[in-house]
Amino acid sequence: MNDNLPGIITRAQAGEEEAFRMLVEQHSRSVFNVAYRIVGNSADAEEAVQETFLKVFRRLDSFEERARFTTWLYRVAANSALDVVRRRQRHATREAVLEDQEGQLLPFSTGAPGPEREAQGGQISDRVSEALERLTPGERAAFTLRHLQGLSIKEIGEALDLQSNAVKNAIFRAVQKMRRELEPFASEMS
Amino acid sequence: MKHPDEQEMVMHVLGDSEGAAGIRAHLAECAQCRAQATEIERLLAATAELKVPEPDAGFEARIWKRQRMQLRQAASQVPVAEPRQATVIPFWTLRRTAGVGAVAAMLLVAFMVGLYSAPPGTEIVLEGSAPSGDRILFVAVGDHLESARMVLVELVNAEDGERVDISAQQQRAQTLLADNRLYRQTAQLNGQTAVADVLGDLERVLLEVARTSGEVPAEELDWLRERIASRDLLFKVSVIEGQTRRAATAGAGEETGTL
Repeated sequence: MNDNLPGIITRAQAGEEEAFRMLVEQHSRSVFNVAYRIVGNSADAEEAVQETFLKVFRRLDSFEERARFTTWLYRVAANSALDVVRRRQRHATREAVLEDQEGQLLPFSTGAPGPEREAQGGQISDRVSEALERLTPGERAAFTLRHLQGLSIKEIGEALDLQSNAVKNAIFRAVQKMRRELEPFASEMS
Repeated sequence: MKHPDEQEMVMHVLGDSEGAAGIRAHLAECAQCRAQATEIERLLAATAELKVPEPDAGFEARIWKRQRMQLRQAASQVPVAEPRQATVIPFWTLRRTAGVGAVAAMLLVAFMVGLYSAPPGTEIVLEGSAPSGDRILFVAVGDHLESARMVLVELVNAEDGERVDISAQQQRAQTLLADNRLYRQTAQLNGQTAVADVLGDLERVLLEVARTSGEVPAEELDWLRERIASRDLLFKVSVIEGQTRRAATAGAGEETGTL
């Protein structure tokens, strides 16, 4: 399906709507996958997918053929997912304030495991999931892009606007926190 | 070589170590560090095995539909010096203007706010008909509000029981959330608090419904109903929906319309 990806990109860059539709439809699931690992739920991940392709559309001119499209796309996706997380956090703060003032609004997130995580089942995977959720969004994004999407430290730095050392530190902190948290279950992760 | 510290070991396992050869040689000799490396590898493998929920079958089509709507609307915002010569969509020129954001939602909300925030009894006169692109938008958002309202109505009227199956409403709430957010965020960006508040209330209910497992205990359903009732949500959504529908109709067939 991706055999003619360079051709599709060129056509999209030339302004062909059908080509852009193909890019969206071919890559929206993989973008969802990246976004979900950063935002942690389907609704926000879908919002991040939407934002990703709007940004892709705006920046398609700046994409250079020698770069790998998916790498570029995942960088945009990670950024969009972080934007969604930041907005969610701002909103949650506002909600908390309003709740104090009015005593009737609900906090945006209960912190309880959602149905999606409950549906995942399996104790170890639950623990790993929880450990990932407790990382900061930046740590989660850096870790996801490096370990699961295979981006280089340099590419992650460009995506998240961080120096290489900061990227390495974020990834290390992510792994370190998860190791500490999952230490009691280490023998079961074989 | 001394034992690598934890950071060096993590970076080595991830393939980002600057002294890979030295660490490899050390691991060949040091059982303690080998065990540490193995433990990190297992942790990384466990994170890679975590499942991400698969989006539903209509996911790609839904994403594209929204993209298309936003980009088409952006097209109608491009200042055109001369009549367009062809039916080919000018995506190339659009790309520079799409940065404005969710133009579709912006236009819509700007219009809706004029309607919704008007004092009771105030008549709002449409100056001429809405452009056809806007009419399509009004129809789309009217459909969105209607779907959301139906979810609320069904929740309010669901048959009581110890546990109530609301899986159909849950799935629809999940589908409606993204569009609702777009409209709410745009209203907020534009300082349109009245509409943003209604859409915010709606979003919170949709989110709570989307987060349920599909079958909820009676207390949870009661709580959702209280939430809907305490904010007059059904009424407010109906008002905005009705005004949006009338705007679409007025734009389609009348030179001047009165709401």
